[in-house]
Amino acid sequence: MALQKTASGKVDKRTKEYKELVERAKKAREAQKKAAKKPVVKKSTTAAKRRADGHLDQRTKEGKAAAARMAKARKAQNSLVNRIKRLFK
Amino acid sequence: MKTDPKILSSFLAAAVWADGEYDEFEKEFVSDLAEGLEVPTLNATLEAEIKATENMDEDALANYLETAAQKVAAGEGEGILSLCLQLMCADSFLAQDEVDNFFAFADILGVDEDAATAILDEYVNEEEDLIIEE
Repeated sequence: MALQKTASGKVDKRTKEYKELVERAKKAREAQKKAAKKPVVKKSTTAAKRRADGHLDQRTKEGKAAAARMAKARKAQNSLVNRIKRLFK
Repeated sequence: MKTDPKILSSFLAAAVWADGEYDEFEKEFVSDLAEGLEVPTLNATLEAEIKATENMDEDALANYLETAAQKVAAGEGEGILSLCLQLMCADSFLAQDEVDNFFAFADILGVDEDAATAILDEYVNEEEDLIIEE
């Protein structure tokens, strides 16, 4: 996905963060492949809300409202059913 | 969908383990998914898989998924990968560990990196409410 720009011409923060996330994941995958290691499936035994890594506020405050909006939109637009039809035709 | 719901649930359970919490929004997503796939037992199957994988370490979980991947119906790897992504993002938050797991799932499911990246790009582009980890 190309970096999107805001109306003022600045790089959109959300797409910038996303690109960085994907780049870090790809670098980690390349390192694993070079070391001939199997895929690593990360597992957290501590619920995200209880992690002390700085993500607590996003998940508990903005996150709840955003997740509710996403669920509402999913139902209203029937997007999940449409995706399922597209994915498993 | 031709893949056994138990096999799908193995991947969905691993998706849940990325952040360690099967929260209310993820449960709601699975409920919608069960309806969409017409598999009313999906939530129970997933909860059984979460329990079955609870005490596995990361290596054991990867091995478990590799075995499950062998039973995925032909041509359904990308679909399962996409459903895992949607479950991981049902709490509106996309974290680094979840992206890492997304690509690990792609590898295990035999989905090449470009196709996986296209699935991820499309989803993030469509879901404007998704919060990206800083």
